[in-house]
Amino acid sequence: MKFLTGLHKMSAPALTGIFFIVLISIFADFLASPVPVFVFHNASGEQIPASPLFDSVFKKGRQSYENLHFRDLAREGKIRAVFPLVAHSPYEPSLNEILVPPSGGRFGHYMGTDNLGRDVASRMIHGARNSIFVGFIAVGIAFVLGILIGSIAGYAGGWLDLLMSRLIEVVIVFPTLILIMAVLALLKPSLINIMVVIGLTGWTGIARTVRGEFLRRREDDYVVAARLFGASHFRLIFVHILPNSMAPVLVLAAFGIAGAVLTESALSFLGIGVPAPEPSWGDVLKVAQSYPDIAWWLAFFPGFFIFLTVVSLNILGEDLRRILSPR
Amino acid sequence: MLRLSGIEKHFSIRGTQKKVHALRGISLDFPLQKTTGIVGESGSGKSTIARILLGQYAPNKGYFAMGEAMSPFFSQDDWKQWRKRVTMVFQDPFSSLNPRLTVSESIQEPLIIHAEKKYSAKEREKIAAEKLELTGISASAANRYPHEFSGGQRQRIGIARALVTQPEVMILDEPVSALDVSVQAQIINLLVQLKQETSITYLFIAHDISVVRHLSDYTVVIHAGEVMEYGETKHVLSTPSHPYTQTLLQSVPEADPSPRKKIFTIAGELPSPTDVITGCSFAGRCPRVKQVCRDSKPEKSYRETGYFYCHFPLK
Repeated sequence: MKFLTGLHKMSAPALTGIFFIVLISIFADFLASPVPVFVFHNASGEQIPASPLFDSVFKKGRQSYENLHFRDLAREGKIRAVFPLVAHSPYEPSLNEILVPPSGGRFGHYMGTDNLGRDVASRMIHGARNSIFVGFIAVGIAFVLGILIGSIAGYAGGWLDLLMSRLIEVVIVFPTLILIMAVLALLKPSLINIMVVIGLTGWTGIARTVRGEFLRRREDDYVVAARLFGASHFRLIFVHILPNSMAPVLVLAAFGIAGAVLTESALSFLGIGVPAPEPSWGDVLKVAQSYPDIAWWLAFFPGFFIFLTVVSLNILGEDLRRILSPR
Repeated sequence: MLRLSGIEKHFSIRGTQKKVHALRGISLDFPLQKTTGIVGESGSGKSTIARILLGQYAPNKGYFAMGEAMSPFFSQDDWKQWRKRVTMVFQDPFSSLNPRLTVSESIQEPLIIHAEKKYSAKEREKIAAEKLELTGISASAANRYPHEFSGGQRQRIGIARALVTQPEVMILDEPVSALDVSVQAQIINLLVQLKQETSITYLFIAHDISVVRHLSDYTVVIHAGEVMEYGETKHVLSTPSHPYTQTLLQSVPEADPSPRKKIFTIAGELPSPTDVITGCSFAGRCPRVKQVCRDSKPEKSYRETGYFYCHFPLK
């Protein structure tokens, strides 16, 4: 991996951090759940599925598994079972555990509970999936749109460039957050709507960069050379211009993911993000604003993870910029 | 014969009525399977000729033709065919290769463009390797990237790329002017050697007369977008008829340190490219200038193997 050898010394931790957050979001179901990974025997000697957790994830009827209350059974010594890292559901409210501070131990709330008694650690783990997912998909949409519009404008030039550039400016002029809020007020704030809306407003920077790169590269010697050897437009764009224009775009994409994670958090914070009861980092943070002086953990953990993710992605973006600039 | 007929090219300057005249009517016949050197100062329009011949610019007037192919009637497809027959080696070996393609990929590119499915990927690689060897680079270097090579090696790669479609004409746009003198000689020798092995036609564009003398059968001298003199190299460069050719020859510095001769410089500069020239374009700088030179264009006059445009030729 030639790519890895050129990394800055801050990139290794940043890359590791992002890697872990992505892993956590992929395996969230197995990291935080009230359903045990293994059950050895139950009180009445009945045969219980070998791994209720796997069954609950891959088959339908998670709720029915959670209704079995494995935790209580284990606590009372009726079963012997191995639970996931965080043995709580992100959804399950508990009236007698409202705003419990972080505690350790078996079945402890490692990051405390929120105003409905839901386990914050579990909500953080499951929320990572939503937050990261929104980031990647939104930037994916922005990436495709930005490259498409930017390369048309930059390659074609003339009136098409004029048209595309004005379109870009029109979209830039909109105050993004307000626009997103307006759109989400009209549509219902579902996960997909949020991703699409963030993607549809976030492509302008990429488009402008791609356009600029295309304008610059179009007259580069090797592009002219390829043209004079008879290369088609398709070949000029996809073999010569685009690969040499990707460096700044990838950097922007890394920053874009960080931006999208922040935007999603902001939307959740404002109450129009990922719809309840779906967890997201911003959603946990939203609860914190009602209890600023009594529940520090509600602000600290999501804030810390958002900070970590955004900083990691920015370091990575910065480093990509350095590595991808030729030689 | 590759014929240029009455080619004019001017570029409009934005926001003004002025035009930059790059070529002011060039008519030339390049004999095939020979090497023709095109000499002139910077800004004389040498490179514009090359760019017009490959269709980067469309001429405002005139046309070029080779055999059945006549430029004014070229369709998209004709252009593609043309670019298979006429290829180019670029001046700057550093910027004319895509930094993200391996050497082999760069050389294969014209083949991919022109022989779409005739060759398999393996065969293309083999051809590219052969051309690399032919131009003096080990085929084992085929999968390396351009930045791993020196300027001279890159220029060899550029030549290999221009050779791969087996063109009839190769335009060399100052192929050695970006290289060290020692490397220049190697590249020129390579070109000479390739010429002996194939029956290719070279159009060799240069501002360095000594390079042209070494390589060219015929020489064209160009000044301010007009032809000054044309003929066999041995005649043009040993007994020039046009005062401009002579001044160009005199301005070549000699590698003889003993008598510190003053290096000859041409008085004045090229006429402004935005001016419309009524007389001889060299009139403003010519030591033999008379009023008639400024008033009327000189007629074409013939000599042993060529012709020139001058009211008061040297002989």
